Amino acid sequence: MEKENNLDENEILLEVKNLKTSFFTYEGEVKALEDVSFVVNKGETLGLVGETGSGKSVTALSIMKLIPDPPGKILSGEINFNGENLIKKTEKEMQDIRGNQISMIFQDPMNSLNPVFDVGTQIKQVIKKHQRKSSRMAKKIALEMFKKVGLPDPEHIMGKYPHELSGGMQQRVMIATALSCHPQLLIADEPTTALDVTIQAQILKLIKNLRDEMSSSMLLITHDLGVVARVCDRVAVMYAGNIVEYAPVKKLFKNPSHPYTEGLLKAIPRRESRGEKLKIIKGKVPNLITPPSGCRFHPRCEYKMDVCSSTIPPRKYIDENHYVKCHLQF
Amino acid sequence: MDKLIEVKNLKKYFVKEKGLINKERTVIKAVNDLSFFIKKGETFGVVGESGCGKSTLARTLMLLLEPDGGEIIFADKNINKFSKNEIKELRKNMAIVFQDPHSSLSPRRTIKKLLEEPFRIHDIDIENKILKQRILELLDIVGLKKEHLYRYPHEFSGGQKQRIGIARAIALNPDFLLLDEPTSALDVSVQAQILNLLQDLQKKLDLTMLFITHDLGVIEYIADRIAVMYMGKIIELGTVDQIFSNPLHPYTEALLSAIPEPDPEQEDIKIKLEGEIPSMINLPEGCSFSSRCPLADEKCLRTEVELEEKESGHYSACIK
Repeated sequence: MEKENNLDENEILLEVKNLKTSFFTYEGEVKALEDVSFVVNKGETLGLVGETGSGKSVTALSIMKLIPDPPGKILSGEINFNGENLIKKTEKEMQDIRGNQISMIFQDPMNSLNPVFDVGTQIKQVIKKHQRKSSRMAKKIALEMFKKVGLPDPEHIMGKYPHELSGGMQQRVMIATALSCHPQLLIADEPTTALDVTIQAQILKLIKNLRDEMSSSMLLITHDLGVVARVCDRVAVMYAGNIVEYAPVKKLFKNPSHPYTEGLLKAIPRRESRGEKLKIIKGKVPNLITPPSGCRFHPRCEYKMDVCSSTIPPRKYIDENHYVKCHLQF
Repeated sequence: MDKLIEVKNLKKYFVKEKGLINKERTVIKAVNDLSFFIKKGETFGVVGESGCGKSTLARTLMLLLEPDGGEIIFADKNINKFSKNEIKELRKNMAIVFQDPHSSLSPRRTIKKLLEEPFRIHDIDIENKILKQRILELLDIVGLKKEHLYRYPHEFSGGQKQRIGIARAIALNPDFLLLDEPTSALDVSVQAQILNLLQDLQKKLDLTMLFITHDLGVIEYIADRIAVMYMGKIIELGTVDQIFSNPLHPYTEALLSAIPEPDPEQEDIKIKLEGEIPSMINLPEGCSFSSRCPLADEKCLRTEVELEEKESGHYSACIK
């Protein structure tokens, strides 16, 4: 796929509009995504942060149309990628898009690599399938990619099985595979959560450099606000299936407007707060089979008003690229 | 300054055997000659990356693994030669909370049963009515409610399960609590709740804590003194201020620079440490960090490094 006009910075690559996804289980309908809207511009990195069960991964899988159906279903909304609505695409068309135009890195590299094939075979398979290259070409591309992600002695690593590599090296193999077809959008789902800090710093730097080099866009999913601050241009904060705040990264950290964002930032232990109690968000993440009425955050919110439990808050734009879903006045 | 625990030259080795006829023996020195002490009432932090021997240290200290050398002195008694009965008695006084609350609670027991266990195991003579009272009190201390009593572990969230784990650990009023990555499996907002709870408990029950984690933010917030481990050794030890404001060992420095600070105004990601964490099986001679150290030279490969006091109470194992 040739990328055109990617010099224009404000060109929209991916636009998700009012996305609603549910899972129909024996216990009832799990309303995993209620109303998710955001935009990823070309060459930009959007961070998707939130706690366990907030719907970060479901958002990613919905974009890839990899939601297991049944029990999952995308109920409404649009996912416009390069102006085309992915929801209307057939499975066959999606297979051409996955890997080629949108690819994904998962949290746990050990579980995403096949233990019975060497890693060389696995990356070559991807290149052969998506780019329709000969084995020889595929090998050449694979070696190049391995070199790019900083794997020492690529020729030798090609013949290794996943268990022979460390976590950091496995993640490098995953990144090489995901980027081997030059995707326009890379979705990274907690790519460094399973790694140690020193290795995490190396992998983050690598992802950042490769993204710039290949001028891809990225959707980075994480629960670590530190990672967001380091890598992202913009942030979407998720809570219980909604994006509650969407802002440029500097603005979000300086001026968090949604009570949940504020709570999250204050819950991070730092040295300055030694001896003091950490500020906590009381209660716990709601059950999404019976989510709270109105604003889904209201039972845990310290600024709760009457209107919060009855009406779903609208998106309020503080300025054109900063919105908050909350009844409070800003 | 009262010491509650003192560890002298503690060693724990694992032996790996390979081959049937020509046996090849490799020794993994998971805890390699550690010495430190913990004062009464303080929180002592141990940090390090995966595989550096943090959890082996925890298990050896609790005598869940038999040490291969050295001494552990707890409340002025040398405990590593204790008999089985003495160890059981000791466990009333030393408790441990594990990382994974899902696998450390039996799925087939109610919370009441789980909390009764410590009393039953130690044959504590207590009337059923008073026991129930005590259990309700424990639930209250850790922030759970009466109606949780007859529920099973799967009905609780991760944070609540960790609270149950903590309630079990403090059931018999121990002096010493060892926490092995107690918040690593939890979300930040839940982590904050657990950290607050632990600090409350420490004050209320006069606990001495050993807190093991890989999260430098958490350790900076909660610990009084910190030991940094690398490949089975303590490479730096000091107060929080000494370690975070004036790290002496290049590894500590690299580790601190690798933390992604939640502040977008800061400069780009700094990488002070290249390469992978080496395996404990083939440690380099001399300083075990020399293979990754930016300052390493010939001398580091030849000299065995020891912890040295560089300033008052601040130790570092580096010849540079």
